[in-house]
Amino acid sequence: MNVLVVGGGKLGANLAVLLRAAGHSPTVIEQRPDRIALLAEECSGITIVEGDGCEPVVLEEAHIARADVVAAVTGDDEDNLVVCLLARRHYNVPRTAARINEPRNEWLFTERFGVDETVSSTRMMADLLTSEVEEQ
Amino acid sequence: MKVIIAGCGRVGALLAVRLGLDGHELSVIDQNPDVFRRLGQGFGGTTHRGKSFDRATMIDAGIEHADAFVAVTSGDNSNVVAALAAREAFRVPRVIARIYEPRRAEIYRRLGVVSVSSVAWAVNEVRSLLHPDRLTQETSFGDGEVRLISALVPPRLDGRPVDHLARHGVVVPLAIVRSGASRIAAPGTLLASGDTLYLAVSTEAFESVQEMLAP
Repeated sequence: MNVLVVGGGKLGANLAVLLRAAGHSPTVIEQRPDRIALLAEECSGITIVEGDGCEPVVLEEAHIARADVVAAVTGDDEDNLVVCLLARRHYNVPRTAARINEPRNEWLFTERFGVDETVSSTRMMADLLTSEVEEQ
Repeated sequence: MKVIIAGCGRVGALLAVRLGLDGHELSVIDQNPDVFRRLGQGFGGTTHRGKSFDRATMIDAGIEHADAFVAVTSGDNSNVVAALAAREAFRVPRVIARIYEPRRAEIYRRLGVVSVSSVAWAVNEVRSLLHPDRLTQETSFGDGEVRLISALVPPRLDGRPVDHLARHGVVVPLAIVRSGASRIAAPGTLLASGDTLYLAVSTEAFESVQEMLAP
């Protein structure tokens, strides 16, 4: 499966490593030079594309049209939304997943922006803690 | 008309003041409350501190009964997100986003986000100012890719049919004004020296039109 990961921070880099280990072909888009150096070191066998993942030119360089899934996992919610929007509505990518950084932006992460799946670590932790409290 | 402006930079502030003077009801959103000073003391609208696409801030600014929403923050991505949210989640009838990057603006336009690209507009404006000559720009459309221009018909073209100037898809003669009266520049209409000719011209054909109409 061709997976395009936009955002090469900790989440993006580790995601790419796991996907690679599971036999998939991840490509990571990252714009920060220090992160790119780290990625190149940590993630052998993963294609790294340098640039802004909200830029059509960069997405095309990363062969977005061939992606089976796009995962938008940058630290900015508006960037993740724009990546999903472009992936789904402009490049017809069949499946998208997005990271939600700020729970107050959750309402935007819907089909409206071409988002299929979301991951919000804050929300998950909060749900986990509240369900534990309820069980006690 | 109730208008919400997200982003109180130079464009947002001036727009808010002008629309306020035109008698519209204004609400301005910005993350940084210091910039509301730009609106001046006479500003009669409301100000709201928050992100342009924050649901609570948008509702606080009155988006549920807004007639228009304009996203002019410094970020292309937040403008797109805010504009789409305003249109699709709150059904605001008129939504406009400022997009700096011209190529992105084109893509978003196809996705239904009405956008203005100040970068593309400035580039086209300067290009036309660099070629003043005999062509007068009457108006421009979108980001200035297509312009409505007027020119005096030179003696050289006297008696030529107007279709002589047409080029498929890039130059369309529209109207001729002769002795103060106008007529449609239909195929076969003959030009006369001294006519004022109006044409729609796309950027790539601008220079060739200039040559054709040179005195």
